Amino acid sequence: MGAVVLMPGANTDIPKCRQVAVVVGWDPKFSPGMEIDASSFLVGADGKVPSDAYFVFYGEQSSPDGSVRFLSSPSTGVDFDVQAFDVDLDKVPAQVEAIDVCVTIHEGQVRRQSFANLKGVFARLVDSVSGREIARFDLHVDGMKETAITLAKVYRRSGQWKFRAVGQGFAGGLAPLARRYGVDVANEIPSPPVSESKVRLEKRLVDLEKKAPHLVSLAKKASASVDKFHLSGTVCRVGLVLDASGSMLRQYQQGRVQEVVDRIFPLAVHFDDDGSLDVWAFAEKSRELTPLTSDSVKSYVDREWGGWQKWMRVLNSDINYEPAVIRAVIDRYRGTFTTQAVQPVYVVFISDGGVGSDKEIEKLLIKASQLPIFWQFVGIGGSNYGILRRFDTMQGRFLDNCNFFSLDDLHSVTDQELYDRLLAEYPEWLKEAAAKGIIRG
Amino acid sequence: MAVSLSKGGNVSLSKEAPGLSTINVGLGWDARVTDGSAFDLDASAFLLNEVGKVRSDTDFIFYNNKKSSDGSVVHQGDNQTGSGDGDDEAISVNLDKVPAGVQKVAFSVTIHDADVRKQNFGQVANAYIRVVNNADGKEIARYDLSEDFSIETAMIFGELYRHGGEWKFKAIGQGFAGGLGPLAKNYGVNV
Repeated sequence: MGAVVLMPGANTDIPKCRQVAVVVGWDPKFSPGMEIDASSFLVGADGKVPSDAYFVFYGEQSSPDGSVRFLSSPSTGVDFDVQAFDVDLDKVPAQVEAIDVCVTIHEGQVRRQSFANLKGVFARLVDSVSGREIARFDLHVDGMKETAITLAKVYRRSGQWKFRAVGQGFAGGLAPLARRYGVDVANEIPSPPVSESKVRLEKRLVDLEKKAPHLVSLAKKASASVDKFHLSGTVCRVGLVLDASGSMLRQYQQGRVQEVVDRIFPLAVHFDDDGSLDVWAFAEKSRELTPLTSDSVKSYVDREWGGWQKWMRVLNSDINYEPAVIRAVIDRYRGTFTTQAVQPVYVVFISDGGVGSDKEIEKLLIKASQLPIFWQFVGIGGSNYGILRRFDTMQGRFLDNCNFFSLDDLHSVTDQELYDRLLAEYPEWLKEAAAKGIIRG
Repeated sequence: MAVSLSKGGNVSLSKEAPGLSTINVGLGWDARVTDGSAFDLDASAFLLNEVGKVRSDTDFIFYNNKKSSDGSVVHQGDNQTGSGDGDDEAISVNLDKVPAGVQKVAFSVTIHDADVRKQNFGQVANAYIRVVNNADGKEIARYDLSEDFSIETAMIFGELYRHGGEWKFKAIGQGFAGGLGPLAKNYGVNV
């Protein structure tokens, strides 16, 4: 049986299949200066997403239950197919009544673009297993002022899955569209429309508010510094190295280390691809801990891997041997660099001074200067930082990949100032690293 | 208990709810949340004689003629956007007052300016039409316009008709192309 061709508003039954794909495309496929993205919203009976995790798009490519997955390049072999959403109908949770598939023009209003600039936009419903097209909807876009539209929806009705052609949206873009679906998008300025990276950040801040509300004001201060240094929208992996040697005992006991963790995490929220923070602890030995997320940030230092006392005991807190952890960090990230895309890494290294093995460390850092890793050394509550300070100015490096500052007490500076100091040298390094080809893609 | 109404099925109102005297035909839909012209659905009623035509133009009850001359059929008002909960438009019929010359009352729903606005029922969220017993508010019959009439812009809901001393309701559920004008003409109204 041939595919059903739908006009806007029309609907059709989806015949018994477990997996379908909603494939979307537009003609022309590439328009200079125009960026089009597909997104989807899994909504409940009220037409809203149960949480922001049900907004599936290139920034969040799967729903929490895996029922809907974003495919940035569908392997249908059909030339005009651009992006797709794979839907496992059996896995769609009971509370979700519909999956709305949308297309948006990035910064459409600002760039004075709308769907009317295209020849057409289409949605095809395909049986994922056989590849057979079940239904098709071609949206006529003449005169469409919208820059974000709901193209089609897969929905349930009296136990039957159905597909409906929609083709309605907003001239204002992704922000009003996402809001209509209940995604919490804060709108500081009425226009221009919110970019996707900002939507992603907003989602994470909402998540933070729910899971770690005590960090929200810190996150806002981090945002201020990020904006000040023109770093918003940049992406990098964020890592944190924690000194777990004996001299740090007081810092752990007094909760100072957890405070540091609390302050660094918002940077991961801003910059990290997954919004998570990679963490290492070291003394004589080094160990990579479970990545920190908004779910685990609270009391991370007390709970992760048995807690800091165990870290100290197992890693042998009598000695601090930095080269082990520096090597571990380098090895860890080196695996993520490919010839095409190299994402920078921003590592905060917490120490209380008394660093031994300086020659070895120096050699490692000089060698590492050819890698896209920026080391931000922060001395807390210690003395004898002399060697750490030298990391900032040592010669022989491909480029300056280190920065150091000390805080006798975390409380001796305001949070805002702390973020300013953490980020101050990073933009310069980013520029130089990009110029020297260390960062690319 | 609402009766599931399939096209062509008929329901004896008197049997369903004995002692029925006033019914409400209700039309509801969700206001538009996306950009574009509002969805303006209109309910209308036609008092028809034994050959299925209006006796005069005043038998066409709609937003510009809200009351039949005998007061038996009353249109409660024009809702142009669908905002508000519950039925957005309603036409009430006092069965006892319907004059002897009227054999049927037909009900229709149309989308205002559907062609110009390029709209159909499928684009409107949660559009429905139903018949309710005024005395107890119980729904007797209902059609889901958004789902089952998705590509239509106008439809004939059904007819109240006399049969052996009783009032019956026949569900018609038939799409109609062209809008309210041609629909009214169909029933003999001078448009």
